Amino acid sequence: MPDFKFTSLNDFLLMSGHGIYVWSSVAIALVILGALIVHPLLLHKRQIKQLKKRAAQTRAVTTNDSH
Amino acid sequence: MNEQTRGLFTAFTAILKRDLMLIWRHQSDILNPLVFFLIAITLLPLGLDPSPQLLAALAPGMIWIMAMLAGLLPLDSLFKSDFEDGSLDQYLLTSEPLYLTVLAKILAHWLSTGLPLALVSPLLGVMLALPEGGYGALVLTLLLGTVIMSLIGATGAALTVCLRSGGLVLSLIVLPLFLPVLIIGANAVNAAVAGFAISTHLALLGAYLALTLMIMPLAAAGALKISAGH
Amino acid sequence: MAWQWFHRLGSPRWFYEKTSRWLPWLIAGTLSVWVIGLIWGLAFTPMDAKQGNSYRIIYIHMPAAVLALAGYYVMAIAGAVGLIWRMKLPFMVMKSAAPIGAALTVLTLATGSIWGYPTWGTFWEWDARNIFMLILLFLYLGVILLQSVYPSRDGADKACAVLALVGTVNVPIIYKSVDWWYSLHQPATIKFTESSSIHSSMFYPLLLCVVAYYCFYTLALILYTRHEILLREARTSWVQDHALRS
Repeated sequence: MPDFKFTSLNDFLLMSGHGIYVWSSVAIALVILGALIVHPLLLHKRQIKQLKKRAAQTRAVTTNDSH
Repeated sequence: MNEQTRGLFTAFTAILKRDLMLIWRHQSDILNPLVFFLIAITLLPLGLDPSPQLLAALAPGMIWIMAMLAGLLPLDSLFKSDFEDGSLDQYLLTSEPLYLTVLAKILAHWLSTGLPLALVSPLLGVMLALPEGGYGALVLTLLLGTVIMSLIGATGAALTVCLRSGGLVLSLIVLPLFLPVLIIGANAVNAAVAGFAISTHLALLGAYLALTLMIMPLAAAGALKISAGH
Repeated sequence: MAWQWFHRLGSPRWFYEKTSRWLPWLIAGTLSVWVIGLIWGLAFTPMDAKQGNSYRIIYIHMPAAVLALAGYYVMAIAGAVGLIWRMKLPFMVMKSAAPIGAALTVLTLATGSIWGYPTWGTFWEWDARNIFMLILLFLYLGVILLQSVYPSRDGADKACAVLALVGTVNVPIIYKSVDWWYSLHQPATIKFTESSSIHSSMFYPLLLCVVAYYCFYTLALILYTRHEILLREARTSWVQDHALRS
């Protein structure tokens, strides 16, 4: 069973001086990977909104025509 | 040679002759890349330092890079006029395989751009104080390398022929693919200057040439069909 | 009979509706595998004798490199399927794969240079793998660029498929030539630990991270493809119904 290799949480964050490199890499990974999930979801949401708007417009046009 | 292969051969030479004739009428198309090559090489000692030691160390790589860039310039026009005057649609309609047509056009293009670049390179080697051992290697590797670059570049040219400003797009998509040729070619010249044999480099370039010769005209033919759809 | 699933897979509508059901599971799975693998790797594996704690960047860097390269093949194969069977969906997958692959090469390059600083003392070293990743980024950018400048969507799809296939043929050659070039110029003092000699206590968390990145890649690819489906099928009735219902 693997055990915790650091003496304290502070030690874990510092990583004997290499903490800045490791944690900045983790941060960059979180930003880039997160963006790859959030970006398509935002695009998707915008597209749904646009489709709704377009549908509402065409419905307005057709109801106007029927009167 | 049976009837069919003779027919294919006639079609091949007909396109080759036609293209060479067209290029001959626009002689500036042959001269422009050579002038670019010359100017770019002239800039080098002016921007750096004219000491022969430095230039000799840089010469193999620099001549190769400049030849690559000079070869990139005329690629844009490879299929352009055919696309604009409708000859391309005629090629697509004929019964001759498009592979051969494209190969003939690439050959004509190489004879008018790659070959002259390789032939004037010793002159530029003299200007950059290239050590004596490097001249043979420079011409040989450039002869092989420019064919490969013409073949790869033709695919890029076929993909971008229908774009209005395709030249820049063409260089951006094609340059990364030129990398292996540059590495092998420039290293061969360096090795020859240092007094080593370059048969390995030439064999590698030859193998790469055989591979691109099989694949690239096919890819270019496919790309031309796509481009002609617009 | 046997080919029915294949053709159904080519239908954007079928893909969209099926993935709607898969997405929650995929998100939960990806996150849990990644969190476990990353915490295991960062906190519960022994320190590397030569590189100290900075080697732990491998759990972020190496899987990204693997997926950046695999992504190029995904893109090229999707393009080839689209060209051969003239299906719509593979082209959408191909278009979606390009930005994801480019982002992963950027992640690989960024974490690689951060790792390089404590190891080599410089953020950029002309190392064979560094250069190869950079060239891979250029290849991805070429496909993205070509996709964006083509006047018609149909032409853009096919042209990008051809470019991706030509790139696929050249990728191993580029890799080999860069590797060969590096072996000629390699400075004797710098030597990375070989990945083949990795200790088993580091191997399992690394494997988990690779699996997590694969799941993650699939997830991102599905999300981008779903957006592309809505964009291209906007005129069909099922998309309009779907938009009204959601």
